[in-house]
This record gives sequence, structure tokens and C-alpha cells, in this order.
Amino acid sequence: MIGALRSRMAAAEGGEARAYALLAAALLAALGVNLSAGALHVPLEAMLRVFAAALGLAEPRAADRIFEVVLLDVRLPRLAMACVVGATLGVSGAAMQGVLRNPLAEPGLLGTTSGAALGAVAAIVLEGWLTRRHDFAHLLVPGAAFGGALAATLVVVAVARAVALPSAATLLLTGIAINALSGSAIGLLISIANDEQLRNLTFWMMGSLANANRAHTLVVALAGGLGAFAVYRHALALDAATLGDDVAGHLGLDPVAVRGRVLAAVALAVGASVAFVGMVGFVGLVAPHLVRLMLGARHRLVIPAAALLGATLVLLADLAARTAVAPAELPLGVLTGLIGGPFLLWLLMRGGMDK
Amino acid sequence: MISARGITVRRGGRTLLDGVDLDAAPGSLTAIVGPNGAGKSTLLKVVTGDLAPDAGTVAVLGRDLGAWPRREIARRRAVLPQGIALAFAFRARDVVRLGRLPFGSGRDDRALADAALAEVGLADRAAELYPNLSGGEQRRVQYARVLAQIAEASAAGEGLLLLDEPTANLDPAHGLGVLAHARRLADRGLTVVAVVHDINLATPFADRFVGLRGGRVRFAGPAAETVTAANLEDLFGVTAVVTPHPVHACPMVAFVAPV
Repeated sequence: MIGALRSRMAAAEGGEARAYALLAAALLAALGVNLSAGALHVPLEAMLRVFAAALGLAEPRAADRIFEVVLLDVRLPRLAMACVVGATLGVSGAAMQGVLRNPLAEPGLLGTTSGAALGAVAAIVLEGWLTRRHDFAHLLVPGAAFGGALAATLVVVAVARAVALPSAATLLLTGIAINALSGSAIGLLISIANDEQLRNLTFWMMGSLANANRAHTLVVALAGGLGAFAVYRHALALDAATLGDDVAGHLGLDPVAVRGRVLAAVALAVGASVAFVGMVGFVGLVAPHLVRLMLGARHRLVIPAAALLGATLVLLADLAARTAVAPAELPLGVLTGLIGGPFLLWLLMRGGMDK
Repeated sequence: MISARGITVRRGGRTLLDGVDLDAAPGSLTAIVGPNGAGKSTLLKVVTGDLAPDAGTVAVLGRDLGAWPRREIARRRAVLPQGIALAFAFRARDVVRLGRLPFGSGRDDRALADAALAEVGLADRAAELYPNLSGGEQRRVQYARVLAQIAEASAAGEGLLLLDEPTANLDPAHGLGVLAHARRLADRGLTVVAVVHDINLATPFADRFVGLRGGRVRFAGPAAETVTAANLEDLFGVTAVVTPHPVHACPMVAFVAPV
């Protein structure tokens, strides 16, 4: 009896290690394919030679110069941004679902994303009014997007403060109101936009990694890392929140404070990510779901795994975005939805979500 | 120890509790009884601090409730609320482990959680997903979580256990089992207060009964003095017959259907 119990427990622990190994392997594979595939195919040996040379482990070869440029200057920055954004979205989705006790929650639910979108669209459409100097347009849009994300978050905070004990439902409804408001304002701006602006903002609203560079990646990595760290520190509190505010309180937590801190962390991380790469849907919703199927519901396991899987999903979506209609590019958000939607449907039909 | 004085709670123009006193001493098991809407759960929520009363004071374990830091009180007092819906599918063991949250995350959590599950007879269900358990099993898992939370306190023979309908959804064997367990904790020196619906399930174990109706205390005292036909008819508005229990040294109640 006890022996059987022990082996079952061991199997469960082994299952967790296996799931993590699987996620890590998938991420590595996605990284490899992403580096290799594209307009110029980079063979594995060339890849290894270039990286060895870059690390000073081998002499650079003149014949590898083209591979070096493609890998180090073109693909690597984009790949880094894909990882950072994907991990941020995965962690933020897990945090949002936990804190709102709702498996349908996603990072944009409280208006962070739509606030950012409103900021970005406003910057694109009203750019001519705001500035005639196009040389800082590249900062205007991300700056306005981050400002929009912060503004939306501040509205949620203001409402939460006005209500004595803000419940998850109150926060959710606040987010819905902000999303509706931003949606309408965006619609208004679109109706007065010219053709070029329309193309720009469509591209932004569907997300793209095409403009990823080192500085942007660093900003998103810092904000995302800080947010993820804060979320992970609240992993046990998020577990307790699953049982409801009253039980969390009985266990010595302040559920309202926990919610506030986690939501602030998510707003920071998602705000930074959406400011530079635009709106990338679905990853934040589906990555935590899939991870829970593999690992169970404990946030200590779910949060890091959602980061791994989120990064992998964005890498795969970006691979398709770059290569499907090369030399043209598809918007990233279109791909995440296009791949993720049917996959989720397939899972639902298998009944996998209920297991 | 609980000492609540003059608790009054008004919500939306209704008075849910009207000047209620509640006393519970270490080593006692107090059963709160009363009809639906009498204010039993409301009173429990005031004692846990979930609900701030409009008037009155609450002291638990020798200190004013508001003077206890959250974590400190959580190490000495555990609460079993009514129906708990889990948003995500945790394993039974992981639900129980949450009871260890006030103590940080120690390495012995898992062993303690498994021990608590064994105490409620669910040792072999530790790895099962919570939603896959029956209603009664879920209830016992929650009771095990509460036990894991006050493991130290009960070993030291102190602490406070607040149970809102601990026997709901339980068959007679497990209902009796949970209350007998709570009685043993009281015998060790803990203060136990339970809201109960089935008076006959509680009489063998509870030493004090508090009857609530319309937000007021109708009676409070030892089982032998309070569980009487007159008190129960007053409380529930149904004819009651009270006889000695054929086996235990306590009263037994039969309610009579109106004709």
C-alpha cells in the first residue's frame, strides 16, 4: 500500500521533470529552426562555426561572413525579442488567470493592451499634429503605447480604490469598460486616418517583430523580467487565491494587496512588450492552459513553464510570419491566432481541458 | 478562546445580527444552531474577521481581533468555510499543502499534508485532482487543509478552529468522524466552534449549544440545558421531541411534521 503510494508519488514528480524537459527541448528546437530558416538557409555547421567565432572559440572564416551577418545582426535580435515577448505573455497570462480566478483571462483583459493600442494608434494617426520631425517617430509610437497601457492600468487602480473591497469580478468589469472605450476611440481614429497611417496601424495592431533591435529587446526584457520575478514571488499566494479571497485571508494573506501587486507587475511587463511589438494575441491565454494540462495547477510550476511555452509559441508563429509568404511578411498576431485557434479547438474536442 | 460582545451587523437595511454575544473557552466545542438565515454564518464571518461588524467587539485567543497580524493569527486559527469552488484543478495534496502557507514553504509540507489526508481517510487519494473527488471527499480535503494549518497549534494544545457546516455533504460515518476529530482537538485544549444543521450529529460531541434566530441569541449553554423541546420549537418553529440518546449520554431530537 505505502509502496504503491510512493511509486505513484515518484511517478508524479518524474512527470514534472519530463514535462519541463519536453518544454525546454521544444524551445531549443524552435530556436534552432528559427535561426536556420528564412530567405537564406543557414546549415547547422555554419551556425556552429559562426557562434564559435563570435564567442572567440574559433577563427572567423571569410566564407561565413554572409551567415554571420544574417545570424548575428538579423535573426538573433529578432529571436531574442520573440523569446522575451513570448515568455512575458506566457507569465502574464498565468498571473492574470490566477489572480482573477478565471481560466479565460488573458493579459489584455484589464485594458492594458487596448490602452496601449489606443496610445499607439493615436500616435500614428495624430503624428503630423504632434511633431513634424520624423526622426523620433520610432520612439513616439512605443512611448505613446506604454503611456496608454499605464493610463488604462491607472483607471483600473482608481476604480479598485473607489470600491472598498474590489473583487475579481469588479476588476474584470472595469477592464471590459476600458476595452470598450479604447475600442471605440481606436475606431474613431481609424475613420480619420489616411491610407498610409492605416497600413501602419494595422501592422502595429496585429503585432510584428520586424523592427526588433537590441535596445528595444533590452527594455522589454527588463520590464518583463521584473514583472515575471514579482509574479513568481506571489506563486503560493496565487495558489491560495484559487480557493477564494476569504480562504486566502484565513491563510494569512491580504488578497486585495496580492491582486494589486500582481496586476501591477503584469501591466508593466505587458505594457513594455506591447509598446514595442504591438498586439500579439492568444499566447497569453493558451500557454498557461497547455502548461496546466502537463504540470497541474501549482503556480510555482506553471509560471516558469508558461514562460518557456510562450517563448516557443511566439518563435514558431514568427517563423511562419517570416517564411510563409516570403519575401513579404505576415503580421505576427495573425499567425498566433491562426495556429493557436484550431489547436485550442482540437484540444477542446478531445476533452483535454477538463482532464 | 473567543469573546464577542454586542455584535451587530446590518446589510442593506436588514439587521443580520443584533447585539450577539459569543463566548467559547479553550477545550470546548461550541455548536451554533438555528434556522436558515438566522445569522450563523454571518456570526462566524465576524469572528474570522471576514466581515467587520457595525457594532461590537471581537477578541480571539486573548487579543483583540484587529490587533492580530494576519500571518500570526493564521498560525493559530483555521477556518473551514462553506462551499469552496476551485478555479483550477489542483491535486488533493496541493490543496492541503496550502494550509502550510502561514508558515512559509518548508520541506516537511508534503509529509504534513499527507498525514492530514490520512487523518481524514483520504491517504490513497492524495494525487487525485480535486474536481474528480466527490462532494464529501472535497469537504474532507478542505478539513485536512485546516488540520495542516493548525498542526503546530494542536500539538501545543492551543488555537482556534472555526467550522461552517463541517458535516455538509458527508455520510453519517464521515460526518461523525469529522465531529469526533474536532472533539479530540477540543479535548487537547483547542477552542472549536462549528455551525451545524444536524443537531443529532452534534449532541454527542458539542458541550455547548448556541441557538440563533433572526440575528439574536435565543439560548446558550451546556447541551443538557439548552437542547430542550421548548428551545428547539422556539428556534425552528417546529414541534420537537427530545429523548435521551439510546447510546451516548446526550439528548436526541426528533422533529414532528405538522399535520
